[in-house]
Amino acid sequence: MSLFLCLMVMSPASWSAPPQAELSTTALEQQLDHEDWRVRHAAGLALSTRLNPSLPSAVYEIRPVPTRAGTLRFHSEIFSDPAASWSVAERLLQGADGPETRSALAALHASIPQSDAAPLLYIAKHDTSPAVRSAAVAGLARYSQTAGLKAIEIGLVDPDARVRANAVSSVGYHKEGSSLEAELLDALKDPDAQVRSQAARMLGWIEYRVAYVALRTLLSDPAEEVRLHALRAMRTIDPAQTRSLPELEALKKQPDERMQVILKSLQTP
Amino acid sequence: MRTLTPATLILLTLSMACRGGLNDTGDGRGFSMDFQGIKVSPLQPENGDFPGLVGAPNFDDDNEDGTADWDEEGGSDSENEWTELLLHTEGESVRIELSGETDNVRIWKGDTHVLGAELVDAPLTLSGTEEEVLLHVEFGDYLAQARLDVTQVETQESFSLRLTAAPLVIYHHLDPAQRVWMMEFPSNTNGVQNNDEMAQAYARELGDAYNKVAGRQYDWDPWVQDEFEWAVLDTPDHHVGVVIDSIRNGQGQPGSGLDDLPENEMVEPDVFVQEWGEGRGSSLDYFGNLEVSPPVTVDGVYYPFGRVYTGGKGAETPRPQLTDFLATQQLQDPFMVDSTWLCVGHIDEYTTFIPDPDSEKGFRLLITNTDDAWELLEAMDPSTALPKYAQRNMLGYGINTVGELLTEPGLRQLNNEIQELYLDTQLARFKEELGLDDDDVIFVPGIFEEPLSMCGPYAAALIPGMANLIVAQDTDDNTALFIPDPFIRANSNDQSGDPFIQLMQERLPSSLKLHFVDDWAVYHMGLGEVHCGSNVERTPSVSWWEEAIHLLEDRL
Repeated sequence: MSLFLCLMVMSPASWSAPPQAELSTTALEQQLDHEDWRVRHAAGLALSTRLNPSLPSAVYEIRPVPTRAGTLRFHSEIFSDPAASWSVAERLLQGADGPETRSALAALHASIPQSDAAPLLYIAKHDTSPAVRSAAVAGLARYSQTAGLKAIEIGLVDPDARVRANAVSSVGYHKEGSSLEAELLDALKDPDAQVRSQAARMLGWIEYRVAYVALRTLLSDPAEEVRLHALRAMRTIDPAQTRSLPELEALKKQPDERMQVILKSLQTP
Repeated sequence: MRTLTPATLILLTLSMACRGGLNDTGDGRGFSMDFQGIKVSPLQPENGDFPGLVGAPNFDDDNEDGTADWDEEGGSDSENEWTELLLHTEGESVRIELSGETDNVRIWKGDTHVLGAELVDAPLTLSGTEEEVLLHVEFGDYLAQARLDVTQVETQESFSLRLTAAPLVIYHHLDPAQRVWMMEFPSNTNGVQNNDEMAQAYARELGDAYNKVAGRQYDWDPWVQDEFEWAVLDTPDHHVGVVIDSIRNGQGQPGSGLDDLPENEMVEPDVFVQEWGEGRGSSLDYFGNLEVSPPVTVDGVYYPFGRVYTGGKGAETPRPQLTDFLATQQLQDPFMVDSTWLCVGHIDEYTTFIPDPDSEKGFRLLITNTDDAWELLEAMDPSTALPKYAQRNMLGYGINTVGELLTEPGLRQLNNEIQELYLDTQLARFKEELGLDDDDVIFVPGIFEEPLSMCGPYAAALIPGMANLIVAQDTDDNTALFIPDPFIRANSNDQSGDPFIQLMQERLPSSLKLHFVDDWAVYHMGLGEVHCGSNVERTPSVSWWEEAIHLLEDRL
């Protein structure tokens, strides 16, 4: 059995006596650069355990606490040790926790400096829970440049609309998010209203002029949020043209006070 | 068995004399009734007008037997929500009739239930063998209203007395604080961060008024604001505390987290717990999303107890059972502002009210303003380190300097959007609903983020939300504000170098004592702040039967 498989089938309970891998520390360190993330992960886990035998069990024992929104989060200084990221990834990959805890683990893993993004990209694509995939996508987008873009791309084609909406929203917070203009344009046609509204919103944030025509079609979208963010984005991209659109007459009849604020702002050049 | 004690008689007589309640004959007797220091008689019938005799619904458990007193047969020696009524018969037969919400009123003679509620609504006739008859009135519902018609059988002289149960009133921030609750988080071996500094500030400044909530017993659920709300049933004789229990249920199942805290630690004689609504509520049903303005006058109508406000919009609102009930209480006319753009969804995240004795209205509305925050940040040296924000691992944001904060992708766009679509529009709503103008508002610098990995595209405070504060009186009876420390500075231990704190010190009333407390680890990073982690019981400062009669519809 390979080291990787050996580690992957271990139960959390066995962490009190972590196996001494046959490989030397030097060999394990060399494997941290391996092209296969699973080999890197197994080596990192073994190395971190060798350096701090109590760390994996400490990571496994920590329970998340509820945020005020009812979601969970981990807050402990033990995660200040970058080596904790291997154990966090392992706990996430083993999947023994419920989706709420796994979501918190995904957010935590993304926020640990120098953590290997590959396990989280794997989670972003393959976890069974949309909430966990969504947290992985958003976490990576927040804290990682290259892997963040990859995570967003994974999230944009996720079968679950909540994950797609979060991926679309993440575009606006990524330094290179504007490189995903085409994907945002596609997202304007998404069957889910939240995805469309977030796409319109982000196209406005990155001021993607090409999107103007597509955004205009959304001014008659059945969803209030989509119409609102489409108009706000159009105002950002081309206020002069937006001011003279005939569609504004219909929008003026809408009761949403936010829409009325935007329309009012368009009245004054 | 209740009897009119000599002390009570003296008190009644003195009180009547002081309030001019003795009848015109000057002897204090004649065919009449005395209640709460007032005399009503055929010569002074107006003294029986609405609200007349005022009492509290008898929902507490004075004898502590586990049953609400209204639901018990008879009274007990410890009973104190029965309101005394002394009838002077002149030795003549007297007929008493009860009308109105008779199901929710009982009249007692001694320990005998003689009128109302379960009894047939036949009049009660007293033979006149007793010159004075001591009766008691008990109420079985909030704001229950009834009328006693009292007639001397032989002369047919009569008068009426209105009976009115107290409405439920929720406290506002101008009411003096009595007790403050917070859960303490000690560090444990796993290095879970604590809230020592905030706890120490409460203990130091509030003294005995500070009440610790046991963390282990309540599953380390720190959101003390959200689980319960203190309210009061006030009468001329005493007041009854009401702990409105949220359907939050400890963020989980019944019995989890803080769910049992009100029942375990607050119920006592003259304090009871009541819950409105069923099932597990959404975050909009938590009580960080239920607040009360100070007293206001709106379109000529004076609200001496302020107005209740909740957060919600469209189909996303708190469940209606509680807000509908509060509307029926008539004193605090609820309205709604939009909080649905927030991850947690509570109105305490971006706005609050503070006392300001030197202002025209006696208070100020605080509301977050993102433009002010950007202006402050832009005036700073961009290389200024922000150690609190630089932390990673869900303890911070990985933002190392002011310069990084200013150039963080998407942050400016998000906050411009929030300012335009939500903060400006909701400020306009507050002004309209509460009759406020620009002078009544203090802007609080703040910036929001979207914690997408926890909430999706909904906002939470990035800089600790300074409007999310507590108003309480300290041990020297100063009115103090406990405000989240914004930590926009290089040296976390030196608040004097923080421009956000400096601006708040300039803008907030000088009569208030300001404490900027560290709520970062337990609350801020958990999507809440000081107010979210605290709860305050207050003392009523005005009497509804004197100040708010104009708001109470006469339902008889």
